[in-house]
Amino acid sequence: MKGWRSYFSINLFSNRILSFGLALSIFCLAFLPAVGQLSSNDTVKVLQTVEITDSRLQLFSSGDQISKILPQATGYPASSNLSQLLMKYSAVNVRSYGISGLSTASLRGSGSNHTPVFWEGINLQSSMNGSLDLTLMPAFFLDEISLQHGSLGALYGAGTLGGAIHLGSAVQPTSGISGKLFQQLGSFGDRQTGVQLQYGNQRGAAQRSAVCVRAFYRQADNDFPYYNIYRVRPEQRQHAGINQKGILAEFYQKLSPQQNLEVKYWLQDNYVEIPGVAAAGISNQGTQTDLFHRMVAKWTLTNTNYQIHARTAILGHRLVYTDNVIENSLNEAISWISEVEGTFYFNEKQWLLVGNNHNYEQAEVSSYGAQLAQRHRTALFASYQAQFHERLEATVGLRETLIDGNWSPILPSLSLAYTAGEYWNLRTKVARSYNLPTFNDLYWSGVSRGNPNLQPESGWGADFGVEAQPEYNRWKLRGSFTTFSNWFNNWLQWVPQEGLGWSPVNVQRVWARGLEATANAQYEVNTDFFFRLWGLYSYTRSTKEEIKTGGNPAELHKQLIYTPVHQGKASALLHYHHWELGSTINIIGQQFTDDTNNQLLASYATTDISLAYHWQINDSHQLTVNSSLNNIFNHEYEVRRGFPMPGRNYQINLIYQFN
Amino acid sequence: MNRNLWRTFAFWALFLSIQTISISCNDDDNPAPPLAGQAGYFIVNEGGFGNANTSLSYYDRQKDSVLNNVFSNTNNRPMGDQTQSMTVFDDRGFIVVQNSSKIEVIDRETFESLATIGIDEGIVSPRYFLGINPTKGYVTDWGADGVSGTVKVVDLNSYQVTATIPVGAGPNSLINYNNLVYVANGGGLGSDNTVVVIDPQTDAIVQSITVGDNPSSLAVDANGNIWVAGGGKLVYDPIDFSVVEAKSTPGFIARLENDEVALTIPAGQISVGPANVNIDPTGQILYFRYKGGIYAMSTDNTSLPTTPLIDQSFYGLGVDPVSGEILTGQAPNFSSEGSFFRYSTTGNIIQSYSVGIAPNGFAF
Repeated sequence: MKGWRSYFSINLFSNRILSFGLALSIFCLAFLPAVGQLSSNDTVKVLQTVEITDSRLQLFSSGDQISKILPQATGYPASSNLSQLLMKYSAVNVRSYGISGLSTASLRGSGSNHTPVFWEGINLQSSMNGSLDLTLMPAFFLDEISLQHGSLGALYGAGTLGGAIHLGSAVQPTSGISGKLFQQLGSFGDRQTGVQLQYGNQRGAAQRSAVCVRAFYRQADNDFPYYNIYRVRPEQRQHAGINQKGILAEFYQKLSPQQNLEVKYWLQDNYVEIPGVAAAGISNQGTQTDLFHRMVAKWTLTNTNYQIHARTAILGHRLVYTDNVIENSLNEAISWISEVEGTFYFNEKQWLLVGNNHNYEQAEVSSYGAQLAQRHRTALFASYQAQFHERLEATVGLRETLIDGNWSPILPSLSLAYTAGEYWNLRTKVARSYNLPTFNDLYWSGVSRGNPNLQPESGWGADFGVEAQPEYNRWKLRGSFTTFSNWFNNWLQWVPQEGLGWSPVNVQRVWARGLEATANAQYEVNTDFFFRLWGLYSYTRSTKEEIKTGGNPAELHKQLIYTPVHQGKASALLHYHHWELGSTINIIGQQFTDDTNNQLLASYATTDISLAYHWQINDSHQLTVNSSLNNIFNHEYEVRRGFPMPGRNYQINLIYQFN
Repeated sequence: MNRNLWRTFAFWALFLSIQTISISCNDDDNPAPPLAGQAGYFIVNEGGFGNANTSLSYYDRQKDSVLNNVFSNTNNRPMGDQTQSMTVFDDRGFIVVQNSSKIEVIDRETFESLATIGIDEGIVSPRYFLGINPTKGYVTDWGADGVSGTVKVVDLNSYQVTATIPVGAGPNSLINYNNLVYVANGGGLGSDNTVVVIDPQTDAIVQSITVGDNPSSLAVDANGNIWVAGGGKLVYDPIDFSVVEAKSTPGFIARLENDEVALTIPAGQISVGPANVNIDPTGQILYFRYKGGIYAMSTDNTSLPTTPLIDQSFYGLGVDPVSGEILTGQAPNFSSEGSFFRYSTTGNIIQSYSVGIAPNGFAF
């Protein structure tokens, strides 16, 4: 076993890529005094109206469609995982292998690895297989979940062909000690406990320092009863349990009125049993353990006309897979990501963002044979925003990356946001993005082989949207309608080779197009009595428009598998004094399960309801009891062929908070 | 089906057709039932392993067209995961769905499900079915670990497993000739090199014949000799997964005469071995898949042919017992529909049809 030191045996200044990156960052910092002199106005512009903590998401994405997930969630969303939240409350098509199985996000008809998850600005996707299992992400550790739709290469780099999921864990402003405890009991042996403890030190209105530690433990058997249509008998789902435990420690320190530092460490251990298809007679008893280390340190400097963010993160992942045939296949990956970005404010109408990102990835996987997979990347990105006539905002972005000495495709983006009226805006965006082949695609050895000559997948995306936010009396309404069209070139697929085995090839060109419509309504009688409604409909056609040699021409013009054309989701919440009643409905249209569109997965609809009671014990202690009944109509359905889902099931949460 | 059975059916076909002609002159309301393989035959679509999308297709001779998903459309439920083979016997179709640990028994004409022989009845990892008599059948079974192979004796009235005969690792094809059952032990998840001979009267092994490595398919020729084809053994280096040539053995085709190996023809190189050996209706020409093509070999040959009859790679191979046409199944991959082709005995394509995912075999 190699120790951690050997991973950092790079000689800092002889490595050309790293020194290029450092030189660039120094250049940006040197640029600052000149900018300060440009403006004659001394008032604080950056923090006055809105606290900019993430310039890229808040400022430079004004032409993008961004959806926040938590506001429409009902029940106690902190007890869910990211897969369930995205499935119920967002336009994402979550492709999952059942209740505790691998889940990945597909947005706007893109592939399963084209919508990466960013936590605190760090891309969490695995260098080995390009995915992040959303089932393993506990909502308890996440305070902010936003979905950004569309090609985001210019701002966020590789992998963002469909969009990005931004996660944030924020240390809440607090003074003294406060905490939260939650306990969940659910059907099929589901038990979850979560603890959060915070200590904060405030001086006046400013937060000086804060520490927050969260931990959770979850165990679920998932032995739900169902009727097995393949083996024609009622059965109980076997070998589908999950056990997770994790801790997230966050530390915030204000170093000076203009500087702060945050350090976060997320450690999580997961054990998942893999049940296999319900059609299989004998289970292959597969199990997988995933151990994650995620550490990030962020430093922010805010001045009158500029803000600098510097962050560095280390991500470690240890995956062990075992089944009847394969004994303890060990896969380990480590990534080191560093980023410096500066946001400069020239005047009310012009902003500039410049940044540099350096990413080093390494993986040791027994199936790669004797090779140690590694990749160095360094990127320079910039974005410029200008406002015209107080109504039109134009943002131009550019990003270029050097990957192991080769230049990546250049990624430009252009977006426009137009305020058409008091309640209306229009936005449009055109951008390019790409996706790098994973280490599995490049280096796999055995009967099936990776292909070291793979090209990156790349594509152009365009969208156009209309948003309205009218208010009538006590009604607050919001609606949005977006149409999109994305072209993906050199889309990778593993295809069978002559003789035995498979190999990945850049074999096809995919065109994904469709529309997304959302509506929100809120009616408020007073703060104790309000009603909220949210609904979403998406239409997605994602078809293979070109297939090169090595692929199967019969797949031409066919819809991608596990990409439903229609999706409809809605939630309603009624808050009355201490009570809260919520309901969620999901309607997923039929999907094809084979590439030539001959086999279908039936459409399904599930409805959940929840009821919560909030008891304010005294000024500093409160208790909430929340109960949910899911799939109330006991609908029998599969989310993937051969992976049945549970019928009616319940969950009860007890949440105790102090201060 | 083997030659003996074919002769019996051919006799009955002639007999019944005479009856039919005489009866039909008087009474048109009761046409004689179609004989095995006469009206049409089945194409088995394996599906993608672990994707629960196996299916069954039926080729109608008169209409010259294929009906897909005949099992699921008739019985309103999916067939399961990974069908290895199907055998038609006694007007019933026995569909061996290996990864679903079951054998679906259907009516040969209506495709309606008659029974499901599953794990509760004792079926674990079935591969091929052979009918011995209308109340008895044999099923080769790889076992839960893939190396403890057995032949399960199934009562065809009660559909229960009445006996289990341990045979070797990975038993595959089995044929009935001269009142003896020959089972090729293909290795399964391990390796083997024997063909065992079972007496169906006593369900006991009477002989074990050692042939080349991993024999997987069997056929009987016009002289009563049994041909065995095998893929040989491939040994991989445990660290970099390259093939260790010194420890690997080539595929082969062998001829058994009087239960002894009379001739073994090794394949020219390792990792390529003849597979799916079939015999033509005359019993004089063998067809098999080999080196990315379909090869034809006379039963008099003592060496492998150098050029293929059909120079294309296929996943499934069969021979039409009625017309002698060569039938092939093509699988572009395991996630999209495959194609079924009919070729003439001279290797010219007659017609192609769209079937399910990964067509791997035929049943008549």
